[in-house]
Amino acid sequence: MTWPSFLIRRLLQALVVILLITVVVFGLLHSLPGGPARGILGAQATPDQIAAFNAEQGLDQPVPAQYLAYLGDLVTGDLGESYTLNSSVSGLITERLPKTLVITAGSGLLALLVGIPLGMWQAARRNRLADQVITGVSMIAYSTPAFFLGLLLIIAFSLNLPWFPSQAPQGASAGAVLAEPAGLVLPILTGAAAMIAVFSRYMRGATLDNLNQDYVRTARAGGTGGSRLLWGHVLRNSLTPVVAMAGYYVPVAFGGALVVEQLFNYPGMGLLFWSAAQSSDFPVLLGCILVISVATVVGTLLADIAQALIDPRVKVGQS
Amino acid sequence: MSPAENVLEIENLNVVFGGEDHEVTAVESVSLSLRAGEALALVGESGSGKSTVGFATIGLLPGNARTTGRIMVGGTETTGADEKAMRALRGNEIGMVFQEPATALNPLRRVGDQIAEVIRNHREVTRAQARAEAVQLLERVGIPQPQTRSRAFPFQLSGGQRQRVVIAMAIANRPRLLIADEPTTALDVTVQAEILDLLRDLAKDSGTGVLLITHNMGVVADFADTVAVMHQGRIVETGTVRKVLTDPAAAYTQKLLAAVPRLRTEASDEIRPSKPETEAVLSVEKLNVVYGRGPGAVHALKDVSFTVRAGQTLGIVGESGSGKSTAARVALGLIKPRSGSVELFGQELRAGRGGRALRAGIGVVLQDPASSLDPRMTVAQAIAEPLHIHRRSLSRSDLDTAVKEALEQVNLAPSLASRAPQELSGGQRQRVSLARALILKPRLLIADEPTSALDVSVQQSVLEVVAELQAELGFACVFVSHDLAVVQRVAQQVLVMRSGEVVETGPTERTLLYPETDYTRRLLDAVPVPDPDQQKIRRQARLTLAAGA
Amino acid sequence: MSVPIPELTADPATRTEFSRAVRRFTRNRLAVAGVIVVLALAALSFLGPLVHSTDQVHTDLTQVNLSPGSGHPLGTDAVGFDQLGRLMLGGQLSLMVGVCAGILAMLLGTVWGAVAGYAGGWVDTVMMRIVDAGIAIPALLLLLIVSAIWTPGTLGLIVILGLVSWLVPSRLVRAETLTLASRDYVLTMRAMGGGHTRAIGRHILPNSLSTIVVAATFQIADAILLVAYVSYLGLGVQSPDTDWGGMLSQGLDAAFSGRWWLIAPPGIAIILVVCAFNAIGDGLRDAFEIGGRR
Repeated sequence: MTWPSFLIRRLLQALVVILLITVVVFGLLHSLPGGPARGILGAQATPDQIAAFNAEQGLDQPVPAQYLAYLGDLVTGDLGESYTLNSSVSGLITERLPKTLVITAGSGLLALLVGIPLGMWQAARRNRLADQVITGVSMIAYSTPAFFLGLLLIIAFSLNLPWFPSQAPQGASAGAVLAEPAGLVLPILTGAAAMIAVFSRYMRGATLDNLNQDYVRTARAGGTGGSRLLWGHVLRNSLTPVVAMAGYYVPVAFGGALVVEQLFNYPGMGLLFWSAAQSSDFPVLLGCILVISVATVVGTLLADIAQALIDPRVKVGQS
Repeated sequence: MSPAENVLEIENLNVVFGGEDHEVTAVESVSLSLRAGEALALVGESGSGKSTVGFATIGLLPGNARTTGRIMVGGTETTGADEKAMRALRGNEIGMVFQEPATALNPLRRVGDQIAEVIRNHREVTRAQARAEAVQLLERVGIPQPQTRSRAFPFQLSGGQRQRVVIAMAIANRPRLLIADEPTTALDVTVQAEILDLLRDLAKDSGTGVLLITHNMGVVADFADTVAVMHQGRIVETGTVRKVLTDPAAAYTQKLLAAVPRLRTEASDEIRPSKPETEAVLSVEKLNVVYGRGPGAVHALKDVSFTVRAGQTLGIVGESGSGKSTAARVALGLIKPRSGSVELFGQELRAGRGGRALRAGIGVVLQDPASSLDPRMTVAQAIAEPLHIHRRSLSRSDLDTAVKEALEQVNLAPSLASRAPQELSGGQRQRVSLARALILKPRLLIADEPTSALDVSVQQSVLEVVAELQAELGFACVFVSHDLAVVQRVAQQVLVMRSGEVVETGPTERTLLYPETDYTRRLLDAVPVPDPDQQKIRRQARLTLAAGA
Repeated sequence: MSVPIPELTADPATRTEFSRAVRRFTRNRLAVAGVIVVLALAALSFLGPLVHSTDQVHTDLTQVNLSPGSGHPLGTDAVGFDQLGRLMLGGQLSLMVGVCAGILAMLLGTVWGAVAGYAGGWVDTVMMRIVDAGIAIPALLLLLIVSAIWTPGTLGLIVILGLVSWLVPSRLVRAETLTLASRDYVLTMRAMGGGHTRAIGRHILPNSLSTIVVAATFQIADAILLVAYVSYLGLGVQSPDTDWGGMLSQGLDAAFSGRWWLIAPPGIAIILVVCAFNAIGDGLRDAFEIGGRR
């Protein structure tokens, strides 16, 4: 398969998935007991008030009709108006999304850059003390809830050793946020810790698997050994499963942003989503979920493409 | 170095593997020597320790192996050498070719780069020079368009081509010793013949000594000057190839050679009475199987038709990708044909309940002994499974009796009934599969490469059991195999396939002795026979024919 | 140290394999430690209240924020609940919800994955695209929406955690089913007239059991973490009920004023139990000799 047809096929698959996501999310929100009106107007609202609200928001239409209307708006980039924030959903998201991407992309990149070499290093020293210690630390890092870990980091590196601020930058744009890098250190570390544990562990396993493969034996029989074997042969082969794995971690990273933003009081999508959930602000919830899911699908797509770049067999479906 | 000097000298080699609970001795007191320019074949069945000798020589045994004794390669001792010293030898003084070309190359690097790496491991040349040399090597090992192919990834090459690349890596620095561990086992016979020719020419040109590790006596006869036969970690016999293959001294070698199926090239004296035309048990008409759609679609079967009659065996032969297994699987209803019909016992084979009852008349044995039995079922449960499907009313004691009888039929002790498949040998497992296939007294047995994963002595006993039972029970049999000698032995009718099409079909006696098509002729010519003199004549004839064509 | 080996009535085949697996598992010190930790924390949570009985319903504002000492081995919290008793109460919920939700997710994932993998064709394509779509929506966001609208009890929490966690296991089981369905013994059985029920029930599910058990162990570890996150986001069970995550998040502010006993015990308990389940999963995977990693 050539690159264009490979890309077109993957893009079409991604579109189908995105469409399915809109159905799932829309269906879920509208089938829950209570519905938006009761959430907004409160438990004491009279049936008349609810009916008026529903008519005003188009909520008295049949659900499929509402869905189609929503999709129609979506195509034009219109995600609706927030019930509570007196602003368009797309406006809110445009403001918040870049800031969240700073955290998620930062954590993800850090996790890959630390986890992959760490895993290989461990595999090269398998079952020695250093490997076992790192395996133990990774397991603890994976098992610690991010908000607890973040708290410990704040206590250690903000209160006891005043190296970093305990609150994330409050700037209005991604650029403003990036201008205060010290404030980003702890949030990004908190978001990355569990992923570093997962990636290093996975990379360690993949490397060990590869060291037992026939091609390694062939390379060794040709006199290749040591670091040339590890970096020239094993690294690339071990990377394929880890990159596929990284694709699955995109939604996890966004979920993590929710917690990190809450803990460090960072005004990104996570906080927006959280407050929208508190106030049953359906258009905002729907918009956020949709955007985050699309970001996830795009992330997975990028992981797919990265995989195809690493392994020529992926493109022809032979892997 | 004088040509008579030994490139390999092994003295009293012992190899012990440390296991989870106990140690296993793989090689015991093995001594060998190999002269420059000669080929020594190390032969034996699985588990004889022959490959371990090869890996010990190049220093690639796993970490839990303990070695004692002495191995000298061209005057350098390799036993006890450290990893760095061994690295300097590997790919330089010693080259190695492996069994499985599918996995032997790094899937993510271009083949030219993999060859160039071996060159640059041992010689101070620039990257560009090494690449240019890699292209020359590819040409030398007979890869067409070497310039372009050097940029290919392994998955873009055929199995035979990949093996040629591995050979190119092994000879890149003109080693004194080339170890070839079952280099043609995973390849088709025609490709096998080409690879052996290639190895022979390369060794002759450079004076390299070749240590050939194999289980195939035909390959030995074709290739080796001297032979060492290994059994249970020890060498039981050494000698010239003619001596060992035609006049073996050791009882084990005699037994081994007796079990090797030999391709007959002349009509046998024994005249088989021609059997009366019996009823058709299985008949398939114009089967077509297509995988995929559009321009990438693969036509796995094209208009394949055949008939199997009661009491008869139809052998389906062909190389990999010929569609022989696909044909068997369509007959079994496991693959749906795009068009064509399968008629079983005079009725159309359909899915669903009606089809299911019809299937009580089929027995099945598939290739891989490792996966032919469910690891979670005992032997008795596995054999009884067809009874559970088709004879649900049987009582517990009737079941036990039936299982016991079935085990006896295939010459297995009834005490095996409670064993797990993991506790059985490969040959025992295939017999259990056979017992399962025959427990319902089927009218048709379909066997897809049933013995190709077995050692020859085990293969012989399994084939004997099948023949006895067929004589007794009178079932029809479809026997799929890549091994022409085996098919010649078991089948009365034969169907030769290539790329999904039937090349020719007819009585085995005629088709496999006096073939009508060039393809069948080439297949037959490529089969090595375990007699060095005869094989030499056959090889010359084949090469002359190829040169003329 | 020995782990009780369950009474077996299985076939000798499974018995030998099983006993080998048990032997391998018991040799894995980390995994055995995991079993002990889980048993100890379960005993603390479910049997502890019999020994250390406390009032976890009525607040006692005369006894707030006491540091650990006599009467209150782990001190008291901001509304006067005994912290050790609270740890036991929270453990009951964390462990029960985690274990049940993990198992529920595994059950759902097994059924979905096995059907998709065995059916193949367009059924498989449709089912797996749905899984793709589900996986793309972060579970925490879904939980946030659901919990904001509906306050779940224990059972409800189990169900919604199970409902957001089955997707990854379903992929795993599908892959396993695909492999097993093409094994020679399944093909042979099908060719000789066996039906789909027999293929799935007698061959595919029993042979994927070890994979499923291992995955379930990891699912439980993840579910316990997820319970903690849900509580942190303020969507957990209502006071005076609690779980370890809830205790931890309520204690966050106290940490800054030096009242470590409000966060250290639940924090350590969560880390311990999640590590323990992961160690058990690792041990089981090695014991059953299942490939793959996590």
